Amino acid sequence: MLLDIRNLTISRDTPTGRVQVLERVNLQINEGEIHTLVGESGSGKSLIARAIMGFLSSNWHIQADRLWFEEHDLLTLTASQRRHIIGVDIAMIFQDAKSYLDPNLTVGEQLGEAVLDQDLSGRWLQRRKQRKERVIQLLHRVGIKNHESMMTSYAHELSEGAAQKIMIASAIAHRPKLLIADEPTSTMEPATRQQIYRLLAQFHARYGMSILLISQDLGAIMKETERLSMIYSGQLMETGPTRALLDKPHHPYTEALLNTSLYRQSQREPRSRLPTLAGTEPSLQHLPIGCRLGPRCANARPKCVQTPELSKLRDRAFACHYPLNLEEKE
Amino acid sequence: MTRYLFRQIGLLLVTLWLLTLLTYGLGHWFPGEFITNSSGIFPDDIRYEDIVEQRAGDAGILSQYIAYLQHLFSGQWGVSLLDGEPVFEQLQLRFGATLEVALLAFLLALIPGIPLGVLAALYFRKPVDHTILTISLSGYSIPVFWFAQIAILVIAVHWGMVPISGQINPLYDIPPRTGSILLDIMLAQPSYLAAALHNALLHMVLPVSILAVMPMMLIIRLTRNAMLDVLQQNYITAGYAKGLSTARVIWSHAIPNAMQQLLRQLGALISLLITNTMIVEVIFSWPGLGSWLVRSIYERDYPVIQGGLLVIAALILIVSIILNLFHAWRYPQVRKDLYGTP
Amino acid sequence: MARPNLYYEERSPAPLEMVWLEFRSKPLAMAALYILLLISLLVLIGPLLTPYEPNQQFIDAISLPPAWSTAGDIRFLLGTDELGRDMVTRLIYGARYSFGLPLLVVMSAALIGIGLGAAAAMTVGVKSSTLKHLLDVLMSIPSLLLALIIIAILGPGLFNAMLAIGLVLIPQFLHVTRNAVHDEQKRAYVTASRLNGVSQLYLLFTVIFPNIIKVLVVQFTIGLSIAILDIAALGFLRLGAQAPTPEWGSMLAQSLEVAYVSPWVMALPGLALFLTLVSVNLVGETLRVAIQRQLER
Repeated sequence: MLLDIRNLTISRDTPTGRVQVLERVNLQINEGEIHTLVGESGSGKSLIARAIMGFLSSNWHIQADRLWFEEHDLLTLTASQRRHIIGVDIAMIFQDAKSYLDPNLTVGEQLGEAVLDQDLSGRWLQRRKQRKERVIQLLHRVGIKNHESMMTSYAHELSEGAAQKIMIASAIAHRPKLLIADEPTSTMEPATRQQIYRLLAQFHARYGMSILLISQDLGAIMKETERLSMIYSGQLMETGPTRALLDKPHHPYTEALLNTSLYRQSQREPRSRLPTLAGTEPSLQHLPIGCRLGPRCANARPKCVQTPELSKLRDRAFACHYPLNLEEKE
Repeated sequence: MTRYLFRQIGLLLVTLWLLTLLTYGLGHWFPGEFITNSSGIFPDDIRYEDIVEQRAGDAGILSQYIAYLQHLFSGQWGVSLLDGEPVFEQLQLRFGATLEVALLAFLLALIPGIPLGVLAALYFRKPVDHTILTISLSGYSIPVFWFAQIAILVIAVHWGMVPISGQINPLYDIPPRTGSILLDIMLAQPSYLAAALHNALLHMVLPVSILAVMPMMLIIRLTRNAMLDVLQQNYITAGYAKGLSTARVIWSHAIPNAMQQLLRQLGALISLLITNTMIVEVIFSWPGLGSWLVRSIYERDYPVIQGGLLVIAALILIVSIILNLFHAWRYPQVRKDLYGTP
Repeated sequence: MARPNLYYEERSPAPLEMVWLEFRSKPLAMAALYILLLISLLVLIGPLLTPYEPNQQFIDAISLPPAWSTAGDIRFLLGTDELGRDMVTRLIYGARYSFGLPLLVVMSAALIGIGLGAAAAMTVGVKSSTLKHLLDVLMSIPSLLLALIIIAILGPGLFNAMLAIGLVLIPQFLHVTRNAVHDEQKRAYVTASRLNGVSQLYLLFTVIFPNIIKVLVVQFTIGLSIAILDIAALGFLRLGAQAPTPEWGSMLAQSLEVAYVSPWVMALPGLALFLTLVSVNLVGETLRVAIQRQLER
């Protein structure tokens, strides 16, 4: 187990009281696994990533039964200890990559910062030269060939795709064990997205790097994804191997998402209504009690005002009192 | 960059030209006669007829303006109505004196101001931040003329630690050349060099430190706000994600970007500095442009007003254009924004 | 507010209300606001409270220290000046000259400047960046210097000083308004309204104005701070209010000769000025921060 999160609750103080933005979320990532976290915007999926990285400011309150990365308990680490581990073993890339580049430094300078000091040897001048070589090497690995002009560029001169490639280059500089990709392609065209995904899959294959991909669109996930987790309004709905989950979802939320996605396009009658979830996502001030999907769920029953426990079934897990597609068991 | 450079220089030339139009116009708008107002020669003077001829006093406005410009460029800025001293020569001396205190005060404000602002931002909403912010906001609100009086009363009069006013004890007899007293002493190389320098520095302590207070408070607040803004930017998060230490992120990402914002707002600072310099010069009888200008307004010494005004305004304009150019040269992404605006 | 909460419903405060809530949570800023209200009250009803006339001289009480010192006199709470005038009276009257008049000046300048600025932004006129840069450069000239020029033409005096400060502040309001309206015009919601076919006036007053009012309020406090300081500075330089007027700046100037013998004559007007300025600046800065925080939300 590379990353083990048990009952992670993240809350923040609002003028109307403390709100649990994320409620008892579990997430396990094995070594060398590509795990995709799917949820609508505002469902708290980026919060998980930021909690792992320790980026949350002090007005967020984090509680968890377990927040482990390998053998390190991240909750007990101070910021600097955490950064020591994270800087080397966990890397993160973001959406809107351009804004994550310092506007006043060239790409070469920023990539040079990411190169680990222990990879370099010799005196100052030699180290400088090695650092530059490493940067060029990194650029080549992410498929940028004109490294000379790229290294002297500033962020405002890059396209979104190129900036994301730079971010990836900077992320893989440490050969991390886990790469967290927070909607890296949401602002890109499909062609560029495929390019970025191909790059990620390549590094996954070559270095055995685990990837936690965060996405808001079930239709735009990496096809190499081994496991999927569905999150809705801060609660984990369902998790399991990609294929099984997409074929026979246990949770109504997954079912509803699939109904609206391209996966089941062939099953739909021509000109029929698209079956969507009724209503809108709840705002943070008006979170429903119990299962947060309750008010929108097609088969919600009175029991749903109690938060369902996560039930495990072989390699899958779901949080629903009335799961779907369980015929074979009954 | 070249395009931007030419644009800024063009802008400077246009504003300077507008400024000469204004000062020329002032000659007409001031009470009294145009020729007297701009040359300082009274009609009962024997030279008056010649001056009218030279300055095209009877001709149309255009040729009058051209004659005014010719005089301006050849350094004939008229003489003072009060004592008959040539304005241009006097200006040079006073300019040096003003620049000396203003620059020293600026440095004195900058050196503690920036670190304090950064410190406040790093301890955002902690006691350190609140203390620095409260001091800076109240320090910014002290009227400089009152503060200077209290300082004189306590430090100069009551304790007698420093002289009350002036640039240097006149007994030292330093011939004025540049107007800047420290430079003048160095140029004159008197046998009592150390004593003269000591005396001049003592005279300088109060005006410079009082002048530095308000800009320093402003710098603290500007730096703090800039740092807070920068610390929220995504590239700071990216720096942490790379595994850089906090000190490294602050030093090589946060501070340089905050300095850029500070630089953009330095114009307000220059304006504040010049205003306060004028007032402080009056209080300390510092022989600079400000005290001269204020006295000339009081005495209705029009040639001096015109000259002093032209120099102060031109100084501010040139400094602000230089700041713009430096900003664009140092921070490449700014230039792109400038081109981007239609 | 005892509003019975029968339904599970929350009212989200309106944007301006949020700014006020944020502002109210800062005790220092609230204190500053109360001080300003108190000074405004003194401006309005000051003459009813003062025991004497501002220029009334008491021959038997020249340069008396404040009442709590041994040489003091209870008739003159904060002492008297070198001509035997009561300091309390002069300070309260001074509030009219040093706070009331600047307030009046800034209000008129704001009215004219905002009107012109809005008109300039709404009409399709010269929008070249050169003009904008030109204005930017002219803005960098300090207000006191511009006021000095105007006074050089008009001659010293309180009215001329007010006129000068007013004339200096108008372009600042114009500039800020024009820029704010311009920035707002580029926003999508304005385009949406325009596509709805509303008239220009409606667009300005109902759509754009509520969104720039905050910027204008902050600019108002900045302008007020400038006006108070500059009018006092001009008074101090003897170019504004003239000798017997109890304006705080000129009181300071008059106190110079006696500052060593009777320091309270110098300390008090300066203190009043400082208190006023600190309050104005504190209110302005807190408002600015509150508005910024609300924008980030």
